[in-house]
Amino acid sequence: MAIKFFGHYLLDNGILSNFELVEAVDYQTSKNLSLGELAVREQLITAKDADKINDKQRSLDKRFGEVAIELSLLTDPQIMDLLGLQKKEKVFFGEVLILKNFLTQEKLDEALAKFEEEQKLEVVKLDDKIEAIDKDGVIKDSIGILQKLYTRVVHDYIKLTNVNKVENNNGIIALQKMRGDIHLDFALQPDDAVSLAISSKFLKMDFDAIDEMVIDIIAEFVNVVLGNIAVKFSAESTKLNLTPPTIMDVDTFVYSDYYSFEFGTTQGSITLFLKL
Amino acid sequence: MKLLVVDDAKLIHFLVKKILTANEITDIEFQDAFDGVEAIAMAKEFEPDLVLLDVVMPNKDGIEALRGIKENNPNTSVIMVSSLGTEEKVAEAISLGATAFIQKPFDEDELCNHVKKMM
Repeated sequence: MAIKFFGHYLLDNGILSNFELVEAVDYQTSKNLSLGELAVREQLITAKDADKINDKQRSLDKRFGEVAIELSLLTDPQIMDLLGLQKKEKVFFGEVLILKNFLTQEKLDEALAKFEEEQKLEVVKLDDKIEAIDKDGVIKDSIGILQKLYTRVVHDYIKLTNVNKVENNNGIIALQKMRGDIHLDFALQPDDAVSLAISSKFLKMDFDAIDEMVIDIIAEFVNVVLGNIAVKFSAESTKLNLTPPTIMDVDTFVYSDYYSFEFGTTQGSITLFLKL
Repeated sequence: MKLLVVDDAKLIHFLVKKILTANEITDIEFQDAFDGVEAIAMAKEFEPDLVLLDVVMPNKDGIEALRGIKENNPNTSVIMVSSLGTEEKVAEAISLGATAFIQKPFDEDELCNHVKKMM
């Protein structure tokens, strides 16, 4: 089972129609304003200022708040107030479905319980230092989704074995970036045995050497895992995009820029690199 | 049926053909495109009945490609096949006229059922 947002799950199970899904998401998007839209509504900046921040944000690859402070258009306390307001005003997808009479409370609760059961991830215990920086649970969920999808694709055991102790030249590194409301650089380095195992299961045919197709499959595997992570964080009007995955040179990849998580499988090891 | 598969990963083209053939969905003429720009041009020339369209691609992403394809080929059915099934992308794709959104990794049955419905 791939990770889906709640509305997609309802659509696939015939509980919501295409029209109702679009209507509910549009309504939710119109209510859940971005930081820039809120700042304009609260008359802290003009719409022109918001455009300027957005343009700069995209070109500098930074968050809206950071750029607004750098340009002296908003202060740190104002950003904190806006974030608080954004949280307070947030409309949840389920609430919209009830409001629009697409579902009854009873039907919603029933569907939500089934959905949560299907989407459940294994709980991982990380050290305190990493827990402290993982406020939104991006690291924990990335690990959970990698484990879930690895198990699903390869039908194999996978367990976290090492944190931040990994640097090796064995295996392909595929890197992909998530941008938008969450910034995450995500790379996987399976050793050759794991690359071959993923490839064989992915295409249901035997691979015994690292060739162009195997490299393509590992890049696609990264795309699948990061896409599913994006979906996990996409509810409640979060805007996210992904760059296409790229294969990195193992000799020039800057390991020290990333938190690394090594997993053991019955085939070999696979390392996850994350930069928030 | 004419089927255009659009994905920057070569393996997806290979996988789709392998799955459909293995499930005896054989009366299909395939064409491949590897990015959004190529997809729009290919759809115009090939006039497919169905397009399987990825979202994360170089040059032009799948949402932009969907817009272009629907503009030139309004009667072509499009099914999005992507890992990026975020709330924003699914809703946008459906509102632009995509018939369904298949989240990667997909099951054989899931793909076959969607394709069969379009035949």
